[in-house]
Amino acid sequence: MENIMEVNGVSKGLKDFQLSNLSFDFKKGYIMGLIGPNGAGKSTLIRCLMDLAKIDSGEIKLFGMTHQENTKDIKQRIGFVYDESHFYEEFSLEKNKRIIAPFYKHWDDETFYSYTKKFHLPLKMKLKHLSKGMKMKFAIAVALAHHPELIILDEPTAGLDPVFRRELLDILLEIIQDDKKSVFFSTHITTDLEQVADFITFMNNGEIIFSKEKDAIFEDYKIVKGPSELAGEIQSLNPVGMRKTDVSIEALITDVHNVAPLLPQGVQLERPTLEDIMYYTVKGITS
Amino acid sequence: MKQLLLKDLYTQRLFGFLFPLIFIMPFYSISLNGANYIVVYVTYVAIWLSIYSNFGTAASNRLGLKLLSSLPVTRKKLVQGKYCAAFMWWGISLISYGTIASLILISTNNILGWGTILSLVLSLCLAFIIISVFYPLYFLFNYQVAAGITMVIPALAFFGMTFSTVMYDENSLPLQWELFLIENLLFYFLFILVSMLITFASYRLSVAIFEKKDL
Amino acid sequence: MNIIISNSNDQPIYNQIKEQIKEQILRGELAEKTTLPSIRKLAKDLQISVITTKRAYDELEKEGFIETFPGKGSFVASQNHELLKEKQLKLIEEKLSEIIEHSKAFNINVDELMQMLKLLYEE
Repeated sequence: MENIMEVNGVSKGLKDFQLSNLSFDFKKGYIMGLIGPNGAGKSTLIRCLMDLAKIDSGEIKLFGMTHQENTKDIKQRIGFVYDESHFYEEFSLEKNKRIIAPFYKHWDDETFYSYTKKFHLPLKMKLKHLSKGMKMKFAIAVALAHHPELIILDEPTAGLDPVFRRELLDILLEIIQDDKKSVFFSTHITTDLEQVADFITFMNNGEIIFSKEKDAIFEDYKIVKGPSELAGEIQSLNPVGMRKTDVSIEALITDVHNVAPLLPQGVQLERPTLEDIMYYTVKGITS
Repeated sequence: MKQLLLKDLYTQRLFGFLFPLIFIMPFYSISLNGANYIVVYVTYVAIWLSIYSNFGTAASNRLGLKLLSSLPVTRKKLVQGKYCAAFMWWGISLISYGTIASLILISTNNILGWGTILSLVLSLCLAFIIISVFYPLYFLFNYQVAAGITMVIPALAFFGMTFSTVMYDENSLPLQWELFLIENLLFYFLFILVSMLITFASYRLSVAIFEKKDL
Repeated sequence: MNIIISNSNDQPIYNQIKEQIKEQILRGELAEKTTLPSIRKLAKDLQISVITTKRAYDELEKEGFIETFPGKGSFVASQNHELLKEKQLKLIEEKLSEIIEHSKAFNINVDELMQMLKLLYEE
């Protein structure tokens, strides 16, 4: 299968932060979710993918091309939605569209208006009078109106109510009904991804913890719950993280296949959520 | 390129277009005294429109550049767009002068001077020299810094000129100035050459700065 | 075809899909040659990932319940009648062994179980 995105050993130093040696691939036709706590480097990575921030070393390939050679072609085929509104606040939605549309070869007014209608966007209103959610919807309408092959969204569900979040998931799944299209989005609301993402890339502290098929992740990790007396025994199995209280312990273990048989009697195994995995990876062992 | 110019035209604020009207008042009274101020007007308004088209807070400017850089256009092209837009603004400035001159002719029968082709070329060169100062600063820092530094130069020049007209005998200075220019075609030629070199160097510098910038 | 995904279920989602389709085929609710929704369409309808759906279909194909033709889609495989019977029996076996396990845990002996089964069957 063809990779739509290849990130190889990418590093980027910023003032007080650093992306170090990121590598992952993303196959065409799927949804990849980028998760991680605030400050993990998700937005910086997306800025590098869009060539807004210049990488120090490594290589980013989109559709098999690099920004150095083909940034224009690449961006023709990408629809982007950022976490802050970057359109012209002083102008109406219609005028914003009129400024942006001519940049795209395949801009499709019909698609654009079908989305603005679907999202109940007031075209004549100035952007600055819209709520954060409405601005996000406008950005999504713009991003989809030129039939991009790859849609990159940075925290699209932040600031959106649960009703629209569900709608958005539907829209994203609708996009990949065409198996040539792909969706890459970052979020810290992991429940969104738990449902629809095919691949999950997990970042923490500017590094990639893993980038895998979602189903494989859930087979690899398990939550262990048990009485607090077993803390020592569980800790000896090198869990990813553990939370010990007076009445119980809960731990996240990985490499379930090999570790599970070694667990002591009297513990329960449960399927973790992405949030569990994120929490224990970031926090480690706490008591 | 067309999209970029269109974008600049769309995003110019109303105030940007209206400001020259305020500027016309002192200019009008002086101009009627016979001096040929078309150069001053066209140059100053062209610079004003060019610079003011980038108006915005540091944050909104950053977001604007982030948006443009995410669109299918290279950063080099974005910079080119800005320098080409300066041509467009100069043209618009000239048209606005023509419109005002015709309006004044119709309403008061006073004729405003049109200057010579050479004086218009001089105006274009002057505008580009100032804009060449603005853009590298704009891409390196932000609008506030660049506009602050740049706007001072033509403002000083303009007030200096007005001031000197008041100080000296009213017609002698512009006359001397014109004589000097006509007699010095070589000076003209050099001036055009130098302004072209400055513009080109400034453009290359802006591209170099902007292509490395993290947005 | 009906598929209901439960998040409170501890079974992985692909398995839930697989089991439900399998059951509907064995019960005859999904007839031979019936067209199944495409992988991507089903993923959208269930609001789940494409890979999860794909895995369910892959396993169903491996077990001989469905057939996939590239470019055409997936269909319920034609079932050999003896094979079908065998599969049906296997399904019952699986369910029964589950019941037996529970019975053992609750200390219910075979006779009691048989009696209960008879009674329920004749109802």
